[in-house]
Amino acid sequence: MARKIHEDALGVAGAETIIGTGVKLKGNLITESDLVIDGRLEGNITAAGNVSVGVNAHITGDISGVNVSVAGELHGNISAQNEASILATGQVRGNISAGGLAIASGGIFIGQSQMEAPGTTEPTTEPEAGESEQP
Amino acid sequence: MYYYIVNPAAGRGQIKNLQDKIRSRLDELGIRGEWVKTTGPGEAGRIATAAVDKGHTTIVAVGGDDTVNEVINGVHQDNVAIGIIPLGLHNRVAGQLGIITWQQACEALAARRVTPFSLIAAGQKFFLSTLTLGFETELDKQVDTAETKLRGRIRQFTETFGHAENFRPLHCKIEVDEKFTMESDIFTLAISNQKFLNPLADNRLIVTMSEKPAHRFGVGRYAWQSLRRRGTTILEDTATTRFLARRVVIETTPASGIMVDGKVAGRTPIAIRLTDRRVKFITEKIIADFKGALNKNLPDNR
Repeated sequence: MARKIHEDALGVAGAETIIGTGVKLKGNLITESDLVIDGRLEGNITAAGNVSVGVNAHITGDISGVNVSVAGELHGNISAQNEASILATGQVRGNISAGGLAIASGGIFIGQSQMEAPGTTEPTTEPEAGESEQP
Repeated sequence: MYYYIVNPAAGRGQIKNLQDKIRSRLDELGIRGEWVKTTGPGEAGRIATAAVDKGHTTIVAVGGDDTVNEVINGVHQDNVAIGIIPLGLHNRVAGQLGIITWQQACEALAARRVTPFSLIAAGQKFFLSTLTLGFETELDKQVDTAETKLRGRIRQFTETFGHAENFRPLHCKIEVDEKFTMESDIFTLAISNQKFLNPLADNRLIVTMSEKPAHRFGVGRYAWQSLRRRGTTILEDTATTRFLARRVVIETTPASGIMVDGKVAGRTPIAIRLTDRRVKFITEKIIADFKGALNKNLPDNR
């Protein structure tokens, strides 16, 4: 029985924030952990960990996190300390500032991107002008 | 000196048969103390308050979760440690603190290893363990959860499954830390102090919400789990939404009852917050050691 308690305890230790499919959020979401969101949000996300935007997610607002991956729909800007990635089902309409950027085939990105080395604030490359979209 | 508050009705009165053995063991361990029996619901809290006022610094609840929660609400000073000898039908709080049997409880009391926890307030009531809302809240009205024999258990499951299938999700609006609001149709919602679930974690409310499973298999699995755990715990593996907070205000349509450790404790709308009120609990050795070993690697463990 004692062993079971420890399993329960450790199960919560990695307590990432999860917002499920049927949830509608309004306001700014600030979390000290990783965040997985698959619902609708009108507001900004500030996460101390990684942010994963699920395939059912629809977000109107900016996202800031360590790594940000988007499989759903985002109308807003991304600021990622490390990498921002747009997955095959992802759509981003906004600007991206990140250490690295990956766009999967099928992913949509309309906006400007700016690459920054992790831990710096100065851009290492010139920002792209205009819009880019990958079919 | 230890002060024992005994609920003679707990666990269908099993204290009658165990009282002499327990007191004898407490004698051997040198922690006999005062032994006071309650005479009705709510009295454990009043007795605890009086005992603390008299200067007792170790209050032991002898009974189940109801007795423990009454004692928690009666202890109003933070220099007091609360111990538990679990003799109730539902001993969720003791179990989570690593205390399963009365023998083990006596050893833990003698060792007096304490862990402080911030209490949660739901309206005017304080609690340590888990608040639930939704499907499980209604469960006790529909199903006799005290049944223990196999045939009874099968009937319980059948009734619980039926109740789960027919349960209409509650439309729930939650204001979180006055920063954002969320809306969802929920099947069940549970709130606990994450430190209660994981002694290494900070004191924060952990809120989990589940939507109604889409398939009958999912409903059946949920019904089985909630029955097994008697609606007093967070069913993490079925949760679709989980977040940390310090204060939440919950409204539901229609209004619904809330349960604390399996007992109805209020109705929505209700504000639930993590308080500054900390209570020290006497915990089982293995949890204290487990925590101690891992503490060495943690810079900050509040």
